[in-house]
Amino acid sequence: MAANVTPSRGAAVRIDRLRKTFGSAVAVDSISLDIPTGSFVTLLGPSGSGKTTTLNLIAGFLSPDAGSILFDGAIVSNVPTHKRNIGMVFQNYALFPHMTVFDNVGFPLKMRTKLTSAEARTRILETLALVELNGFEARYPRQLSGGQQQRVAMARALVSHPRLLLMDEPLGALDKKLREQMQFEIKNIHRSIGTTFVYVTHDQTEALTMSDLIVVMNYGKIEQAGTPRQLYETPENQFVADFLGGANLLPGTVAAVAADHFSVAVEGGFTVQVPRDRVAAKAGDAVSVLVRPEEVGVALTEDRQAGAECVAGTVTAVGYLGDSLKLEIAVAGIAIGAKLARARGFSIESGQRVFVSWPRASARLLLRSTR
Amino acid sequence: MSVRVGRLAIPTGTLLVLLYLLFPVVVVVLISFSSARFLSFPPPGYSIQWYAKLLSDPDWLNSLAITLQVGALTTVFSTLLGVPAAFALSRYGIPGRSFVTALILASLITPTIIKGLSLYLFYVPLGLVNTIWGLAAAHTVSGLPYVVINTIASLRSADRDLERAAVIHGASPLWAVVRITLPIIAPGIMVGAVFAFIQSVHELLVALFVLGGVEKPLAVKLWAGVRSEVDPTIAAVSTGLIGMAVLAYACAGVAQLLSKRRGLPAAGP
Repeated sequence: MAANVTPSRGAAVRIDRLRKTFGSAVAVDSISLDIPTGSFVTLLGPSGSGKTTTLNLIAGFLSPDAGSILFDGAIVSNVPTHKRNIGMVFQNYALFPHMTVFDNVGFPLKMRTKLTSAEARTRILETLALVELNGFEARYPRQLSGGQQQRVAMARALVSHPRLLLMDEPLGALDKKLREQMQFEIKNIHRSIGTTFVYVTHDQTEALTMSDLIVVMNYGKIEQAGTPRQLYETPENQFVADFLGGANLLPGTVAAVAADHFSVAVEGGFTVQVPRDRVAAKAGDAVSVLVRPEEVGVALTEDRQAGAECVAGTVTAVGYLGDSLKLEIAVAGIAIGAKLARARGFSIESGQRVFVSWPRASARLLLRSTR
Repeated sequence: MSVRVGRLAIPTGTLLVLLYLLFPVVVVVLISFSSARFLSFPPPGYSIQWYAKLLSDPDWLNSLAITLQVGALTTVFSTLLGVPAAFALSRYGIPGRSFVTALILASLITPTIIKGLSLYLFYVPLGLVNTIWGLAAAHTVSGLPYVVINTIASLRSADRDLERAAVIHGASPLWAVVRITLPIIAPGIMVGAVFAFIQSVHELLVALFVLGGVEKPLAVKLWAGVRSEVDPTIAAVSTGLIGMAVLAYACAGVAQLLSKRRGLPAAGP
């Protein structure tokens, strides 16, 4: 095989105080981030959070106002996009409509390598096999389904063994079932080739399923970066808690600080205990208590257990989701959502008096954001 | 009752308008196949003698050659200038963009007689009068807007991400345009080029000023013919010109159809 093909070891990407404005709008606000070699990193955030702008800055489609981007320690600001050795999967796939699947996938090889046509052919077929799309070489993009086009776009992005693969909401146009299947396939491909993946999405499930590292962005800033488990179980602020998964955020004030827990007076008039961890809060601080809906239990009779909170409320809404039952319960004027798994045969109606409980250890204290 | 009248009125009206528009064309085409030695309608009989006469007359053939040369040069000039202009106008925030656009389009609404006269005065000191290059340059002024408008329309409907995809996968920005964008907007460019060609072939007034001497394009020779010899030869020439236009439009139509079949964005108007 030709010697000028870059080995497929992933690039380590460092983003250093990167800033980009459009007119008076700050799209990316001096963010810094380290993306380890070979990792799968997801930039997660609502639209307008700066995640796509960040991706376009890494790609070189935009140039930063300040700060720098480094690939393996080398600043790439002066390297034009076509020489950065990146692969990219676009939201709408951006397959070349006038070329066959074979030529689409072969395009990066033609541009970047000096492979003979036989070598290129081997590589193209290998890559198509990786995305399970053999036998479609002679088709044109318009003759393929959305999922197949997505696979072609993946193959084109990977064929030249780039050190970095960028993906901009690549599953957005697919239906739910296909999307879930592709999430696992993309993850498998990542594991098998070792290239660094940077993935942009607003879909928290996608981010949780695939990522080694999730970077939650909002208003051009990084709210929190961490593993999926860290972000879900120990979010550092209300935004992250709310964006990843369902979240009950009970507003209140710290009433007392004990050795192992905080006592929080929730606004509705009841007091709960929250385990004390690294959160620096003192009595009188405005806080929110995070309780995940799937931790919430609902019972018709009061059943106080050690290590659990239990409060009385009224069911205000019931939603049947098939695999679970979604309830909304008003507790002293505060709405608490509950997601009950294995709810077969459990019948409950709006207006019913119930007791809501959750394990104390599952709750988490968040300082009320001042932003 | 009134509903039925309404239902009949629209197709009937359409038909009448169509007949009104097509009647002169039909008359010219029929006369060109006349067996009579003079212009008369309806023709007493049919023959192809006028076409035979035309194709054996070196003067007419020379005019045809000139028209085709001028038309071809106009098409090439308009395309070579119009496509880059369209890219510049639609892609880059160049200062005075709307002014430049207006300037390019202005030639569509400038009275042709004024264009002819001013070009003549402009050309005399440059020695461009009575040259094929001179007329082609003059016709390019009118052909350019068609190419620019159609190319801008195609560029607007073409997906910018395609070019980005080419660039990020290793193509230089120029190569991305050549390999990806141009093939995709080619049908749109072709429609513009066809319009530029047809307007050059049919244009009379500017041609009269610039190339009205010994060597004449078809339109000028036709004009002279109408005033002197009144036999169906000129009808045959006119039919030929109409045929050329129909053929060119058909080419543009086929290009559009092909691009639609390939799932590419449709070209301009």
